[in-house]
Amino acid sequence: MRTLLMLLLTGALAALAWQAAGIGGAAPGYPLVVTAAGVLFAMVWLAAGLLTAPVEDPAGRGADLSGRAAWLFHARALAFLGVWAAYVATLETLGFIIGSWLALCLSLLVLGGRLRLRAVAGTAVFVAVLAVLLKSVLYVPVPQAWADVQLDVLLYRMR
Amino acid sequence: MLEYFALAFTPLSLAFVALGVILGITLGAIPGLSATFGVALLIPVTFLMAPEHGMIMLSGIYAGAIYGGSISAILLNIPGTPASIVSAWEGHAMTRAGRAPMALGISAMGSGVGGMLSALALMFLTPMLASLALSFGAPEYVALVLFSLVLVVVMLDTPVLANLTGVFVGLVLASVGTDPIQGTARFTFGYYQLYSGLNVVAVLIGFFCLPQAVQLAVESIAGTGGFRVGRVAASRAGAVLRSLWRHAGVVLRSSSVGTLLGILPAIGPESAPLVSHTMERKLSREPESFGKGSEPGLIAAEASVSANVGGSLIPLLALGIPGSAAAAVFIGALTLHGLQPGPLLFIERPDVMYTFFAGFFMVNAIMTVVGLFCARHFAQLLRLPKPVIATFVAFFSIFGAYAVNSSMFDVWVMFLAALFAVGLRVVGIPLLPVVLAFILGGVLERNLAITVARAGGPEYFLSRPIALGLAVVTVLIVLGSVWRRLRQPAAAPAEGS
Repeated sequence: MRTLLMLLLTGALAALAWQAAGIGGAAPGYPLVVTAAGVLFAMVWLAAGLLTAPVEDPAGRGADLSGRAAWLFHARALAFLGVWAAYVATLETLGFIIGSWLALCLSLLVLGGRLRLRAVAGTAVFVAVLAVLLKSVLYVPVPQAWADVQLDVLLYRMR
Repeated sequence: MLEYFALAFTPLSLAFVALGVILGITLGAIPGLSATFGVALLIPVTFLMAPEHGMIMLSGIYAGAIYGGSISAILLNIPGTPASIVSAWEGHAMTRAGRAPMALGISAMGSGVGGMLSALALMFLTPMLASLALSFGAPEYVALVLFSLVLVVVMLDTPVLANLTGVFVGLVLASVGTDPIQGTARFTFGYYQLYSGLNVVAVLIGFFCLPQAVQLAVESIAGTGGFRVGRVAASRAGAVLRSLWRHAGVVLRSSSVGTLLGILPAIGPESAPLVSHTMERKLSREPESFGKGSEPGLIAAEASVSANVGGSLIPLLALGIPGSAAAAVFIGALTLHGLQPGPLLFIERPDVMYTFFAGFFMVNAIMTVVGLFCARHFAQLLRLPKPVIATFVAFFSIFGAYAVNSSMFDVWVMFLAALFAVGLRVVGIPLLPVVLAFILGGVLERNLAITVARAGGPEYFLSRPIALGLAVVTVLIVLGSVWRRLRQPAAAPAEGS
C-alpha cells in the first residue's frame, strides 16, 4: 500500500512538473523547480522505503481480523466515508435540515451498529437548533430545500 | 495603546475568552482531538466576529486544548493531546497514589501561570520583533522562510528525506492558482475556483479534522471503546498555590524554556515539556522522584507546554512565520478576516493586536480558574461514546469547510485534503512540513521573484546583513545536522511516524 501510494504521489508530482514545463514565458521557473524537486525527493523516499524492511501499518486496525469480521470492518469504515460523501453530494438537493439529520443518523447507525430513538430525536433537535442559529443569529447561508424554506417562513412569521 | 488593552476586558471580550477556554478544554480532554484540530474546526465560526474577538476565542481554544489534554493524561494515563505525555507520567502516578485532585490542581495552575508569563512575553517581544521586521525586505523574507523550512526539516524526529519531500509537496500545493508576478494560471485544471489558490481553511480542516473523524470511526468500529472515569474530589486551591510557590523557580524556568522553544517553527508543544522535564530533573535535589509523581516534574511539564502556546504566536504575529502547527492554522483565521500577519499589522490594526495581547493574558487567567475548579467535571467528557464524537467531528468538518465561502467546491477540496493527509501518513511523510510550506509558499515565491529581479549580482546580498546572517545560520544548521548524522553509528532508517 505504501509503495503504491508513493508511486501515485511521485506520478502526480511528475505530471505537475510536466504541466509546469508547458507554461509559457518566465512563469514556469518557480513551479518547475518545486515540482521537479518534489519528484526527486519522492523518488528517493520511495526507493528508501523499498530498501528497508516493511513496517506494520499502525492504522490498519482491521489487519488482524479474518474472514467475515475483516470484511464487515472494512465495509463499515467505507460506509462511514460513503455516508459523508453522499451528504455532500446530496446536500443541495435535500437541503441542510433533512440532509444533515439523515447523515447524522446514518453515521451513528454505521458506527454504533444500531440507532436508538433518542439518537434520532437528539440529532433532529440538534439540527433544528443549529438551523435556527444559522438563519437568525449567525446568518450563514446554507443549501435550501423544502424543510429549510418552511423554517424560513416560520421564523419570518414569528418576527 | 491602553484603550486597546481595555477592550479585552469588556463583557463581550470576556465572554469570548470563556467560550474559547471551555471549548478548548472540552476538545483537549477528549483523546484523539488535538489543539490544532480544535483551532482548524472553529476558524469558520470566528468569521462572524470582530477580528480581535475571533483571535481571542481561537487562542482560548488553543491554550485550553493544550491544557485539557492533561485531564485524561492525569486520570487515565491517556494523553488527550500529544503535548500531555509528560503530564501522564507524573500526573497519573499521583492519581495512583490517591492524589488526583492535587495533580489536576497543579496542572491547572501550572498551565495558567506558564501561559500568563508567555502572554507577557508575547506582549513585549512581539512589537520589538515586528519593529525589527519593518526593516525586512524581500531578501530577508526569503531567508527567513528558508530558515524556517530548514529548521523543520532538520529538527523533526521523522527522517530528513520524508521532511524534505513534505516541504516540496507543501510548496507545490501553495503553487496552485495564479503566478503572483505573471498572472498565469497554473495547476488549476480549468477550475476557476482555484485561480486564487486552494482555500487555506478547507485544506487545514481536511488535514487535521476529517482524518481525526475517520480515525475515531475506525476505533469505534474496532471496538476500542470508551473510558471509565469515576468521581474526582475537588482540588484544594491553597495547597496547590503553596506547591507552586515552593517551586517558583521551576515555574519561571519552564515557562522561559517553553516560550523560547515556541518561537522556533519546528519545536511544537510536544517537545517543550520533555525538554523542561529533563532540565528540571537534572537541576533537582531529588531527581529519582521524577517520573514517579513528582510535583516539580508535573509543574515543569504544564508550565512549559502552556508557555509554548504564547511563544508560538510571537513569530506568527511579528513575522508571519508560525511557531507550531496550531499557530499555522491561526493564519487561516487571520486570512479569513483579511489580516496579513507581520509587522504591518501593528501599524494598520494596532487595535486588533493590543486587544489580542490583553485577551490572551485573560485566556490564561480564566483557564487557571476554570481548570482549578472544573477539571474534574470536564473529565466526565471522557464517557462520550466514540461513534458520537466521530459523527459530529465529521459533520463540523464538512460544515466548517462549507461555511467559509458557502462553496461546495471547498468541501470537496477538504475531502481531497483529508484523503491526501491519510495517504501522507501511510507513506510516512509528516504533516507539519507540508502545512508550513503550504502556508509560507506564497510568501517565499513572491519575495524570491522580487529578490531575483532586484539583485544585480552576489554583491547585492552583502548590503543585506539580516538576510545574509539568516542564510549563514541556515547553512550552519544544515552542516551541523549533516555532521551529527555522520558521527552517529549507521542504523537502519526508520519509517516516519
